Amino acid sequence: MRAVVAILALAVLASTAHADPDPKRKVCVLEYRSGSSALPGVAKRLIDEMAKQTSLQLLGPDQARTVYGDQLDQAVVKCAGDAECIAQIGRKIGVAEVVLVGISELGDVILTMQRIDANAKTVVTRVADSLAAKATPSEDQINGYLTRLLAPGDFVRYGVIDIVANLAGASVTVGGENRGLTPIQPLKLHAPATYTIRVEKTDYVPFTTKVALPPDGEIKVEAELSKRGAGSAWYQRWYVLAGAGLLVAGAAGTAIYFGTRDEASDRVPVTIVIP
Amino acid sequence: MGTVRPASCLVACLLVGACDGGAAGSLELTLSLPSQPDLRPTGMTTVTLTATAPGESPVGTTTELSAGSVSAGDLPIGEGIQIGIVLRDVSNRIVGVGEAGQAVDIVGDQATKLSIPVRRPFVYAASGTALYSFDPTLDPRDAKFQGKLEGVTGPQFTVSVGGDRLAVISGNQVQVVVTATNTVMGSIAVPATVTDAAAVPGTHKLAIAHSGGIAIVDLDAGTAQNVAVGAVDRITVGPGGDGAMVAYGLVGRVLPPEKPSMLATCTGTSKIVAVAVDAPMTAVPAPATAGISDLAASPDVPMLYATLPCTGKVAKIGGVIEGGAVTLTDVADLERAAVLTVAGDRVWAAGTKMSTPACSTNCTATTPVACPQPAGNHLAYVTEGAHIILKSIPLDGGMPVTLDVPGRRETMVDKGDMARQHAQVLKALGVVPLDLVTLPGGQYVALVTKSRYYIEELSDSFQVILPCLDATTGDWALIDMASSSVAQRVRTSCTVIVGPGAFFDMWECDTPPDGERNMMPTQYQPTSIGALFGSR
Repeated sequence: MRAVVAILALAVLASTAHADPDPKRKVCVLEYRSGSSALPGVAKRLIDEMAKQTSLQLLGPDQARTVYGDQLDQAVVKCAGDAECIAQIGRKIGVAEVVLVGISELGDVILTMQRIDANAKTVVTRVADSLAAKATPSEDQINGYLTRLLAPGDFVRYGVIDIVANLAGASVTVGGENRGLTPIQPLKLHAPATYTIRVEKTDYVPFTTKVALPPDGEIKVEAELSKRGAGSAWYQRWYVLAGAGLLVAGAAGTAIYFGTRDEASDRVPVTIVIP
Repeated sequence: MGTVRPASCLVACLLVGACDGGAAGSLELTLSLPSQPDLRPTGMTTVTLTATAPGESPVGTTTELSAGSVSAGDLPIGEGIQIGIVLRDVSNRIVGVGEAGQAVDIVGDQATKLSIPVRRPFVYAASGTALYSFDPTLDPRDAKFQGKLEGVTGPQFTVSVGGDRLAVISGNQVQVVVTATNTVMGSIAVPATVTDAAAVPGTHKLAIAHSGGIAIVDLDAGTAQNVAVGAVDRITVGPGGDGAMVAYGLVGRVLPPEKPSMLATCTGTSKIVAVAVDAPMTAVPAPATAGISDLAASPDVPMLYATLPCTGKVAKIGGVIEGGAVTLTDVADLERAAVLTVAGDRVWAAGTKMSTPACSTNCTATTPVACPQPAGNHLAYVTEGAHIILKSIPLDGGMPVTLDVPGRRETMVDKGDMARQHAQVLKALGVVPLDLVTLPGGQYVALVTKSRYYIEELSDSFQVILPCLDATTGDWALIDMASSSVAQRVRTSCTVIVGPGAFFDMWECDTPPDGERNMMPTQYQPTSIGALFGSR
């Protein structure tokens, strides 16, 4: 018995580093019980937490059974934890990975979790823990298992902010970072997070807003920039505009000349040199 | 490549007839990295450049790195711009940080060149006898994750000064370490025993609190100007109302009790003294209406904050400090508020969620907590363990963010059990944050703490079966505020006092998990913490 515990203690620490896989891949969670009724619903708890914390496309045992057929449980038992065999089930279900949750009892309840790459037919990570009889893992423990089981990149989630302005050439700043001039492509950003968006252009009242971006969500921000003092200013009267138009038209050639020369600007390009 | 001038400018130019093209402006930043492999940032794939103009929100760009030089977008022109650099690896982990030593003017028609020291974001913990380093860019199981800085003696405080210098303060001297090589370049004597130190933003100067007052130390000139204002316990530096830098000293620091309020009282009042950095003169400390455990000034705007351990608050300090009385305006609740700092546009403070004790008869402020176990009323155990609380409070008065750091349990194992399965798992009676520092970027906060664990003895009618256990641990932790999790943690020490005469009488602290173990030859209790380019 003591030898078994020692082996398990080592198994808890075992993990293999791999490149981060697609954070939106299909993953199936299967449960395998070796004559134990302990930890009821533990696979569902894992799935629920994975759904909450990642963007993985998840299939639980019930959904997997629908795809694979009623023989799924027998097939899992027959595999007896063999990675290649489980991977074959995963491929048949059409997932990239299978998380196999095993529950057995050796005095304590032994909970094992293996993440198996269906195509590579190998175990990517393996986590095991021993729990006192009748104990249930806390939420923190479940989170701890998942942190070790899944790739770090699985917990990085994104959302999309699509900023549309009524003007071209307005400067867009999101979360303090300059994102270029309008029109801009939709921005893929870390989520959940709150971003301050600022759209500004000289002579226009800046548009500022704050948006809470949910994971896998898309938010469209329509920025309406209005001219400073628009509506009643003296310079909007027809004779002023006409006069200014003549002045501008008469000076157009000079304006183009000055406007296209290399010259002092309100921004400067930045170059970073790493020796 | 020509640029098109905005129309409004064109019209204005035409009207005044005074447009002059001139040369195009540019900013070239050369990152100065250490040559030693253990100190040089590695694995970076992106660089984030931030520029902060006085009184403005930072603007930034993130660019993928390639060999040689890269174009990093553009920045608005302006004066007194503070430039910062953050290098990240492919997993978005910070692997290098840098900051220009002084603010720079970005001019629209001039080429500006700037060299920025960039370092790994080392965190340093001082124990009074040695200075230990943690490299958060490495996996905690990496052999070089924990280290010890050689060549410094008796370090009590560590302060990053411009990133290229590290001031290590011990006794009555300041040792200056060059961070490019981690070698000591010299030392400067201060008049009395140092109690705290803070960097003067944008300079190579330090404000030192000591048992006789405040000293302003110039690392470049090797000088120390002393002002005798009486013993000062903590110090911070920030701009005053006129923009000139002021060193604020805390007199009569009130420490948060280690034990919960049912077992300890928290009383006292403190004073604050202000000394101009450029023209230090004797000043009279102003009384505050509450006990203060720590002070922190914003490096950019005239704002000063304090932690009030007895009332459980973080407060903004106002009123007249010189010869007057200060006012305390609560900005956030924080039980057993202990330490704080200001970084960017936020206050970062640490306190403690107190434990819930159970005593043999009833718990009072005089109930003993000791091993050997006293006769009569005594602490039995705690039903809810203590844990650290971190608060991030916006300077503009926005909603604070609270992070309850998961409480730690310590396992005491029976050395007589060969399988090491006979164990007692103890919840913390108290956890005291001793010091905190924020890493550049504000994502990570590093803490050093001291914790105490206690359980009474277990007896049957015949004998004591299990002894009372009274354990004390020292810990270093790196908290990731983005994911609200403990990113790294090292238990630097654990000692246990075992009560006598028990049937099972051989107990020791269990070994922490891999990556949380102290890899140094001896145990140590860190008492202060600092980080390169960090805010403390």
